[in-house]
Amino acid sequence: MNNPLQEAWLELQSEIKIKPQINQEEIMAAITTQSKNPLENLKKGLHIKMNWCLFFGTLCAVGLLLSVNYPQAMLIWAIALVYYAFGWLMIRNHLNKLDITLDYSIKEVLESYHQRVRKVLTIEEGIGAFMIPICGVMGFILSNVYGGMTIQEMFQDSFIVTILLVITLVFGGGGLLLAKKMNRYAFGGHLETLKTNIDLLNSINK
Amino acid sequence: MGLEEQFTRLIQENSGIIHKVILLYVDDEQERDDLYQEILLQSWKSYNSFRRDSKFSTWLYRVSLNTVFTYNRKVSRRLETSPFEELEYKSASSYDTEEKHDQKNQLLFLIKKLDEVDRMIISLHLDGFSNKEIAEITGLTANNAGVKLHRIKERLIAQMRGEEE
Repeated sequence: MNNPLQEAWLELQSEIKIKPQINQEEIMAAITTQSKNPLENLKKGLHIKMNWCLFFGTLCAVGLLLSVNYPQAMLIWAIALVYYAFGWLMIRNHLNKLDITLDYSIKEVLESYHQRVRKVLTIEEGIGAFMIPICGVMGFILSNVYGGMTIQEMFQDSFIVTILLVITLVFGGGGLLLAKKMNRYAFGGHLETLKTNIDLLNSINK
Repeated sequence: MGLEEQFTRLIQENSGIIHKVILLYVDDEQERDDLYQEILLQSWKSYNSFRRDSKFSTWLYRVSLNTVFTYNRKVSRRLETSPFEELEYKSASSYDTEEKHDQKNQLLFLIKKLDEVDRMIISLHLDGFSNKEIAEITGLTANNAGVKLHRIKERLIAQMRGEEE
């Protein structure tokens, strides 16, 4: 039953065998190149986000130190600092998980690859989207606090509350939608192909 | 022998595996070159964890397939018609007889029409891997791999004989 297939396959093999042998220099050159796996792009994006978290976090720490006479301002700086520190830690933690070894079975690799990429994208979108609105909200509140207003007074002023909500919704919501759209454009097709192959493997194992 | 030297020798002995995997999954010439490099790179990165309890060829097959599956490949053109010429590997030997040439191209065409998982199972089988080894590489159970393989073979043979569209 196998014969016609095997015969044609052997033909194909013989053609592949006559391809010129790769030499040591070419192998050495290949193993020192930069990987073109999509994970590398994702990692680059995460490194950029980590640097932004570090930048804003440092800014918050400096603000915190300079605001010792303004307890309410200190509270705002501290909340923002915690957000950026948390963001930095979360991204770093997930960045490490992206080093996936490819010498496990195809099913194992595809499942863990798909799961990790999806998780990292969700975290990256969430943290990235609120980086700017937090700055905006913080800046707005702080300018009022340094101007002599208390946080309680601010939250009783419907105009200020509206502005804070608009900043959060427009920049946060908009940022999140934009980040999701960009990630879908960059990784959507890739994740879909991975999912198709995982489903195919699972359907065989049923 | 140094690690690099050892790796180079093993890759040279088994480079046909990489060519074959790429041929089955990628149509674009530039993408083939990129993937070849990527497979070498990923193999080198994973080489430290290569346990000598399995053959290097089995291990390389696994790494190559994983690299191809996790690479963001361009979407392949769907092969609805039968442009055999387009599927010809660039190093096609000139001494082919017409019949063998057609049979080989037909097989390649039919395999490339299969979904990516079926393509992997049949190529591993045709390369002489047992059901147990196929299961080890793919993560399927040996039994399920065997059943699936039987169906793929039946379909391919019927198609090669022109019994099925």
